Amino acid sequence: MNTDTKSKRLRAYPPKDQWDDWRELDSKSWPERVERRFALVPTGCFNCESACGLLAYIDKETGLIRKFEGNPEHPGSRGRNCAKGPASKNQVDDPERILYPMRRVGARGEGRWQRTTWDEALDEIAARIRKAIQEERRQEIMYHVGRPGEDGYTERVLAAWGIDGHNSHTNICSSGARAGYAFWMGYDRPSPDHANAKVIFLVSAHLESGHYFNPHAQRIIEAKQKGAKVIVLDVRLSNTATHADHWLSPYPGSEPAIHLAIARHLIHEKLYDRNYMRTWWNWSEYLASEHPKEANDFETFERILAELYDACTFEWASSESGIDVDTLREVAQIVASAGNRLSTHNWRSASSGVSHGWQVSRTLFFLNALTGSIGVPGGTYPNAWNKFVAAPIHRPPHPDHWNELSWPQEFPLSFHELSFLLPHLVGEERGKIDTYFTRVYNPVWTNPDGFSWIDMLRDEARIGCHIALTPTWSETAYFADFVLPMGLGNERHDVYSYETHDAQWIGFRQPVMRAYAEREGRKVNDTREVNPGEVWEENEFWIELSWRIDPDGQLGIRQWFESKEKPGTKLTGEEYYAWMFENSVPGLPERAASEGLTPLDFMRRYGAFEVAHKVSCVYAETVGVDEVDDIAEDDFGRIYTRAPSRQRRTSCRCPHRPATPTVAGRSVFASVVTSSAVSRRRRASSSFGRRSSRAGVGKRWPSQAIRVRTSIPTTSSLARSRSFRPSVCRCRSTRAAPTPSGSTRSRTRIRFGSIRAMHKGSRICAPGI
Amino acid sequence: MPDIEPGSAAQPRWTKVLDHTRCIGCHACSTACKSENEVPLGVHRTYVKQVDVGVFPHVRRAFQVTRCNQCEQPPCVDACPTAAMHKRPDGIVDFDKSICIGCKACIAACPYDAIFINPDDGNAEKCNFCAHRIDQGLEPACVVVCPTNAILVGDLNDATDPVTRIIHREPVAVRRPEKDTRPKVYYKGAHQATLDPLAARRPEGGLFMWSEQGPVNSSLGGHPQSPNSSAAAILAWDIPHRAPWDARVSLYTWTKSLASGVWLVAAMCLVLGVLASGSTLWRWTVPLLSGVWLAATGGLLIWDLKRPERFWMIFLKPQWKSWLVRGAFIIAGFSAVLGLHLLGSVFDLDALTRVVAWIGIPIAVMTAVYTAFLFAQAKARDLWQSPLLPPLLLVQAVLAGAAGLLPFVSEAEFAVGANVTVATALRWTLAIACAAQLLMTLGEVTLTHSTAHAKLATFEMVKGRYRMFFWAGVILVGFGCFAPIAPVEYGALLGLLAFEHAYVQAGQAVPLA
Repeated sequence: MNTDTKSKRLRAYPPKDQWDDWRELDSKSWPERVERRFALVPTGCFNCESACGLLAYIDKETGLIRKFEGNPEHPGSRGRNCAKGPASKNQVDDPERILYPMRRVGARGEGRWQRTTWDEALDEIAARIRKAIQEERRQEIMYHVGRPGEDGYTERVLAAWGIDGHNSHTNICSSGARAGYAFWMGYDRPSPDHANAKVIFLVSAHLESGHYFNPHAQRIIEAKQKGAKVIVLDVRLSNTATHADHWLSPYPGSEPAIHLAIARHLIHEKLYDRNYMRTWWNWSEYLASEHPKEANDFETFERILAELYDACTFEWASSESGIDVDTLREVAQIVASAGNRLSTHNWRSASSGVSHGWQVSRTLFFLNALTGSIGVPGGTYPNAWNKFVAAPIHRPPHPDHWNELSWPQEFPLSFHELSFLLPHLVGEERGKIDTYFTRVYNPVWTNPDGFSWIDMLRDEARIGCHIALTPTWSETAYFADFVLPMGLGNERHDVYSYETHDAQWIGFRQPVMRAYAEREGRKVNDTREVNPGEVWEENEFWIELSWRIDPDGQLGIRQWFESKEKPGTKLTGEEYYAWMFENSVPGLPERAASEGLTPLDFMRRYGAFEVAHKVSCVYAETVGVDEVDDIAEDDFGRIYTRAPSRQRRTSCRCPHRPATPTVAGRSVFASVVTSSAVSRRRRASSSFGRRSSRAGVGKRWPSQAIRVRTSIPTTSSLARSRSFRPSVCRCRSTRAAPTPSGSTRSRTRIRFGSIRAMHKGSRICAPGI
Repeated sequence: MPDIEPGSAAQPRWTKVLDHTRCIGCHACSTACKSENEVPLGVHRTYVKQVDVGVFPHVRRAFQVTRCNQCEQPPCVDACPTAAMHKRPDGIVDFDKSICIGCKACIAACPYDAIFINPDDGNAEKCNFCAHRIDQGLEPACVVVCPTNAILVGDLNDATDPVTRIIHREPVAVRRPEKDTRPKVYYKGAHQATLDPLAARRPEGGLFMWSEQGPVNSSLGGHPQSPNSSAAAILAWDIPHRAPWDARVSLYTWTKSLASGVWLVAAMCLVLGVLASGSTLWRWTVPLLSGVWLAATGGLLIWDLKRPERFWMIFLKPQWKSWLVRGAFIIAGFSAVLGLHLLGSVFDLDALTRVVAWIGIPIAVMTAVYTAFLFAQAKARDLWQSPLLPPLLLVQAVLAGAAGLLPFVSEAEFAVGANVTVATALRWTLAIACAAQLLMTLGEVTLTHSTAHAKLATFEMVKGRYRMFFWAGVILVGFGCFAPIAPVEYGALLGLLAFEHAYVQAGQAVPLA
C-alpha cells in the first residue's frame, strides 16, 4: 500500500466495528450538522470485470442506498475505485431501468411490451427447455453471455441441464490475446505483477481502461513512483501514454515486429536469462523435432535461436512499425535492464479484431520467456496462479454433447466459440435455437454486423424464444420475447476471483439490501423481496427454472439444485454459498472463526477474502506424492497425472527459483514454452475422451479436470513437472478435435504451441526465417 | 475523532496536494464527489481538465484536477453579500446555503471558476474539502476514491504532515498566484499548459474529446486565438463554463446609468443655474423618471438573483466588504434622495428640493460609480480591473442622463437667466459625454493590457463574440456627438446599452480554469 503520503489525521473509511451503525454528517444539510445513520454493506462493482469492492451506505432512516464507496477489505481494489464505482448509484436510480418481467406483444422487435409475472415466464421457459431436452434437442438451448462477472455458477447450471449451451462474446474481444498466451503456457491470461516490476511493458491502455484498470492502475503508478520504467504501445494517445517513459504508436498490427526486435536484441546481446531458459524451456524437444541432426544441447539451441531471429533487426522493425531505430533500441535496452522484473500485458487492443492479432501477445510474452520473468515477483504470472476458484456444492458432470452452433467442427483452431458467426451458422440452417438466453450481451450493438443479428432475432423459425436477462434495455433486448430484470451489482449474488496482482482472492457480490435486512434480523427468502420492483438475480432464477424444468427429478437435473442439508428441497443461495465458503476456500473458516463469524457471515460482512498473498513461483514447487495419480509419460519424459481432487491454493513464497529443483532425487520441471495442448491431446485421445478436455467446464471443477503436466528431460535425469494450474477463463481453445481425424488437427496445434511456430507461423517475421 | 499527531498544532489548516505525477485522468474523483455531495448533472465541484501537449510522437495528455483552491484570501468571501461564503478557522472556504441569495458575485469573483449555482436549489456551491467529512475525521470523498493516491489532504500547520512535507520540499505550483489569493491547493508535477487556462488552444468548433460543447452563454475553455504557451497544446477535455452575469446585468448597468444620470444631470443643471427649481421638469419629471429607472434597476437586480425571495438578506445580513451590499445601500440612499425630492415637490417645498440637489449629487455619483467597484471585486475578470472604470461609469451616467432627459424637455423651456434652452444644454452635455465615452473606450481598447486575460477579453469585445454589440455601441454613441445638430438621443441610449452588454459579457468570456 502506498500510504506513505497520507496524512495521519484523517481516515479513509469508517472503522470496521462501526459498519453496522455508522453515523455520518449529511453533506446536503451542511453546514447544519445533521447526523445520518448507515449500515455499510459490501458488494462487488459490476461495471467491468475488475469487480472492485464497493461499500453500500444504506440509510437506516430511509432504507435506501445513499452512496457507494470503496471496500477497504477488497485485496484487488483496496478501497479505491474508478469513476464507475461511485457512479453505480446512477444505475440503481436509473428511471429507465426495467423493474418487472416483460413479454413482447405483437411481432418480435415491434417494440410493444406487456408486464408479465415471473411465474408465467418461468413456466413457459421451463416447458420449452424440458421439451427440448426430452426430445433430445439439447443443442437448441443456448446461453449467450457477455460479461460473466462470476466464476462457474452459470456453467454449472448448463452442465446440470446436460447441455453444451454456453456461448461467449470472447471472439470479438480477448480471444486473440488469449491465444497468444495460451500457446506459450496453457494459461490464456497474464497476471502482471506491476507493483514489483522494474519495467512495465503495456500493449494498449491499462491506466484508464482495459483489464484490470483500477487494480492495475494503482500498482503501475506505485511501481512508477518507485522508479519503474513504463513502455506503452498504443496507437491512441491514451491516459496511459501520458505516464509512459516511452510511448510508441506503431502502425497497427506491427507490434509483434517491435517485440521480436527486442527479443533479437536480448538474444544477440546474450541478455536473456540463460539459466532459466536452460531449465524451463522445451528446447530439447524442439531440437529433436526440428533439428534432429544437430546436437541436442543447450548451446546448439542458443545458436539456432540466434539464427532464427537474426533478421528481426531494429531496422526491420522500424520499417514495419514506423518507430525510429533509436527509440526501438532504447526501449530494448530498458527491457533488458529489467532482469526478471518485467511485467507485460496485452489484452484486446492490438490483438483484437485483426488477423494474427494473437501474435501480439505471443511475441510479447516471448520477452518474459527470454528474461525469465514468468511467475516471479515483478514479472508476469499465468492468470490462474493469481486466481482462486472455489468448488461449488454440487458438481454435475460435463455434458457429453457438442454444440455445432458455437463450435463448428470445420474451425478446429478456433480459440473460443465462434459466436460472432452465430447468425450465419443459424442462417445456413446448421441448426436452430429453441431457447436463447442473452445476458450482459448486446450483439446487435457490439458485433460488427448488427443487422445480421437483428435478422436472426426477428426470425421465429431460427430463434424460438429469446430471453434477455438484463437490468436495462438494450438493442438486443428489444428483440426478445421475455425481458427479465436481473439485479445490478448490488442486487445479486456472485463469487468471483480475478488476477489483479500477485495474490489470490475471492470477492462476494451480494444483494446489499438483503444482507442489510438479515443484519437487522429480518429473514429474506427471495432476493426479489428486497430488490426494486420485481428485479431478481440469476442465482435464484436458475435454481427455480431448473426445478420447473425437472419438477419430479426424472430428468436428473433437479438433483443438482437440491439442498444437501434437506434433500428433496430446493437449494438456496444461502446454502450454496455457506457450503462453498465453509468447504472450498482454504483459510476462510479459520479467519471467520477468529472474528466469531461463520464463513458466510464473514463474506457478507467484508465482501472479500484473500486466499493467498504473494503466490510467487508455483512452477518451482515440488509435486506432492499425493498429487501423482494415473501417471503417463511421453517420449521426452513429460509426466502427466490426473488432477488432484481439490484445487488447493498455492502458498509458495520462494523468492528465488531453485536452479535445479529436485524432489525425491529427481529434478522437477515445468516448461513454459511447451504447448499444453500436447498433453491435452494425449488425454483427449486416450482414456478421457474429448469431454475432459473441454476446458470451459473442466477447468472449473478440478476433480473432473485434467491437469496438464509438462516437463522436459534433462541430460541427467527424468524430469517431472509441476502441474499447470487450470486456467479459469472461458476459453475452450484446448479442446481436442472431436473426430478420429482430430489427431491431425491436434498435431497442428502442437506445432503452434512449439517454439517453431514462432517463426513459421508468424506473418511478422522476416522472409526466409 | 482520530488521534491528532503529537507536535501538531491543535488547529489544523487543511491543504491539498494534487499529484499529477500520479493522476491518470480517470475522473473517479469527479464522480465520487458527485455521489458524496449529490451534485446534479451539468455542474461540477471538481473535474479533470485534459490538455494534449506536444507534437506527435512527443506528445502527452496532461491532466488537471480542477476545483476550489481554498484560498487564504478568498475573493468569493469578500464578494459574498451575506457571508454565505465564509472561511473557517481551519482554512476551509465553506458555504452556507441557508443564507445564499444566488447573486453569483462569488462566481464572478473566483479566479478559478470553481463555484456554480446548483440548478436544484439555486444556491452557490463548490468544493469545500468535504468539510462534513473532515469534521468527522474522514478524508474527503475524492481522496478516498483516487485509485493512485493522487489527491492528498493534509494539515499545513503541521510541519511533520507528509502532505505539508511535499508542499515544502517538492516543486509544487498553485494556479494563478498573481490573483493574490494564496491558494491552499497545490499541484505537483502539473503541466503549465493546464495550470494556465490560456496556455492551451481551444479546439476548432468547440469539439472536445467525446463531446461538443457550447450551450448558450457559455465560455469555452482554451484560448481561441494565440495561446499563452509557445509549446503546442490543445485543450482535449473540459466542462462547459458559464458566464455568471447575463444580459440582465448588462441591462442593469444601463438602467442604473439612466436612473442616476437623469437625476444627476438635472441636479447639475439646477446647481449651475440652467434649470429652474420651480420647473415641472425638476419638480416632477426628474425624480419620477429617475425613480422609474431606479425601480427597474432594483427589479433587474432581484430578477438576476437565483434566490430572489432572499433579497432582503442583503440588508439584514450584510457582509460589509461586499460591493453588492455597499451598492444596495447606496441605491437605497439614492432612493431616499428621490423620496425627499418628491416630498419637496408634493409639499411645494422649493428649498428642500434645492437642498436635496446639493446632498443628492454625491449620492447620485456614487450610485453611478459603485458598479466599478462591484466589477473590480469580481477579481476573476481582468477587463474590469481597470482604473478607468469609475470615470467611465460617471461619463455613461451623464450620457444616459442627458439622453434620457431630452425627450421630456420642452424646446420652449429656457434656462434661468440665460439665452439658452435646457434642451440645448442637454444636447451639448450629451455630445460631450458621448465624445468622452468614445475617448475612454478608445483608451480602454488601445492601451497595452497588463494581462493576457484582459487582452483576450478586449479581443472578444472588439473583434470576437461581442463585436457586433461593441461596434453598434461605438457607432451609435459616435452619432451622439452630433446631438446639438441632430436628434440622436435614442440612438445614443441604445448605443450605450449595446456597449454595456459587450463590456459586461466580454469581461466574462475568458476561460478561468
